[in-house]
Amino acid sequence: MGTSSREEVLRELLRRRPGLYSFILSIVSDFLFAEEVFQEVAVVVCERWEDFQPGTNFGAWVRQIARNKIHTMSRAAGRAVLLDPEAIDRIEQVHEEEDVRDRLGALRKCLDQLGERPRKVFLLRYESGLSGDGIARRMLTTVDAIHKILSRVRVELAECIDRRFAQEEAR
Amino acid sequence: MTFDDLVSASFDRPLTEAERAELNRKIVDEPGCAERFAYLSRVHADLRNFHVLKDVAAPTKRRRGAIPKRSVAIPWGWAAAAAGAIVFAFALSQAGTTPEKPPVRSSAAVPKPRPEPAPVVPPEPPKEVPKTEPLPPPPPPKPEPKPEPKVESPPPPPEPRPEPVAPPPPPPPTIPAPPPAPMTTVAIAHLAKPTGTVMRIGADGSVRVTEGMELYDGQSVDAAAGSSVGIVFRDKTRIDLDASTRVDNIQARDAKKATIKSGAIAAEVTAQPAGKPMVFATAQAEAEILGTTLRIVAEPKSTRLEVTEGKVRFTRLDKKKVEVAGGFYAVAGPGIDLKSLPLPKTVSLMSLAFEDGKTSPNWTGQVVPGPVRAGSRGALEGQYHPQDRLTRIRFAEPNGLLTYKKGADLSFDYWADGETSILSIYFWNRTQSVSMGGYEIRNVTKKQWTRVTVALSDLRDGIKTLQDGDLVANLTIQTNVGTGSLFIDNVEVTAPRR
Repeated sequence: MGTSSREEVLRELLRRRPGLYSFILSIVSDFLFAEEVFQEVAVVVCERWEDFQPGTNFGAWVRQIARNKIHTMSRAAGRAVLLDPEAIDRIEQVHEEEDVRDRLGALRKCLDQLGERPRKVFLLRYESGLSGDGIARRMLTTVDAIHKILSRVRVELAECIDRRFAQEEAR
Repeated sequence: MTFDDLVSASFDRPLTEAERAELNRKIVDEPGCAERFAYLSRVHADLRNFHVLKDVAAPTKRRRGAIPKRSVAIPWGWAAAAAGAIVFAFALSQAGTTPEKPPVRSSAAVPKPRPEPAPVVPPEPPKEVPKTEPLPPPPPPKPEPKPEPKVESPPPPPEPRPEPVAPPPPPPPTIPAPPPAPMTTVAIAHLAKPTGTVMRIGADGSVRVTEGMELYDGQSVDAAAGSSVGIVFRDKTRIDLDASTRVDNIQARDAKKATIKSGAIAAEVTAQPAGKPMVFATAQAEAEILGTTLRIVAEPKSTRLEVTEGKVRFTRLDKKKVEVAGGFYAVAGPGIDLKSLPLPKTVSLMSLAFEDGKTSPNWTGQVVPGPVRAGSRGALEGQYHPQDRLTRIRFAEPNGLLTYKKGADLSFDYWADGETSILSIYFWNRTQSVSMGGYEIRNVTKKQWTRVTVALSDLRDGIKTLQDGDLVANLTIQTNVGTGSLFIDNVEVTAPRR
């Protein structure tokens, strides 16, 4: 960002929402809490947009705000977070610049390729919000089986998304 | 457990201390683990965001073999708008739900028992019982006595044994049996405009509802918190499920019937054939509708019927009846006088009075008695945030707080003291993925309970405003400065009745 206005700063924030949300979620591991943190970050960015120095790393700036918010909000709520500060530092080091490609579009196509059973597990986990226990009860299987399916599905989807992007770039 | 499995486990359940320590250690110390963790976390977040997408492709093309009659192939049909009718909302007490299990053994081993009325040596499953498994333990070779003394008894030895399986005739008679089963292949209705998490429950289990999905006789529909869906029948009769609502055993092969197990529904019922009124049943009452717009709210100890247009006969379990005409309502429940009363002009989207003293883990704040006031036992006390130097209250629910309806207002009582002079209000609009606010209550009164009403449409993000059907994920009320106290009570979001 060469210049900075409130609108531009907010637009940049919205553009980076998926990556920032992913960063927050990886630390706190709770959907609802991650959403609340993101919301608080949005409020801070909205109120202190002038603090951002044009030409500097916007992503790093908002991630630092997010880290601060995670720290204060988790302490206030007496809530533990998944990652320690050193691990968060490592995650920041490897954090890629914002992926602006159509990840959700690629994800949708990859989901089409899932088998019926893993697809059902995915829907129960991410759309119905059921826990592993709840899914296991509903599908009359074990919790371990469900966790294995979820683990495998995530890896398959991640690799599928990468393959799709690789194919598109090769064209 | 592999690193991938450990990471995946962290997405789905709390890790043990040992697992958490190992995860952190690997991320910090082992090459590639940080990248892998970030990689999988991104997919996890993508999957979470994915739920806002509307069109998920049908799975039928991936099925192998069998005709997908039980898979409920998603026809993606669109329904025409229904004629105007009465909105009838049923809210029923929430009850645990378990999906119906598929029928066991639809045909398979039937022929076997037929020829032999006898207790039947063979356990049900095996077709060729006599010779093989069932009780194999002792004598693999012989089918006789030990495992089944009965075999030796007069009837068995003769012919049945050798070719009990022979009779083809029996099978045909059994085939007609399935048709009478509750499920038919002809849809009685379709499901329209699902928002949030809505499940269709039938003999084949639970399926996430998508736009246009067909509904079959005897199936149930469950809308989770923050969700909604419409059921549109062939004659344009429509039932709209509110959030946290389950409707069971929806039938329409003859007269339309449904059992509202919990939650609230609104119904627009077109004129029904003579002698076949639509019937809604709840735990406390039953309503027969010939053609009307009504709302039924079924709660644990009472059922409320509201009639916008037409007339409904409302019968309590003790058979006491009342006729409720358009513009009136009645409540059925123990100790409640069953009579018709004029309807108020608004519908409630959210109501919190904190009288039960319980604090949701999803809230910021704590339910306490609060400053004294008549007729109220609880209030939500805000939490002070020293870093931000303000006191905050937040309501949130995992599946959303409420679905916005045009014209909705937020009302609440507040009590504040200390330095603050402003109360700020904002919320997260999950549908549009924006935080909306910018609303301030200035000149806050101090140390006295004060009621305020705010039009939710006044809370915005730039030019973005709430749209009908937007899901509000959380709501925040906070002071602007200082260490003062903030209490909130009697929070209501209401919208004009349409």
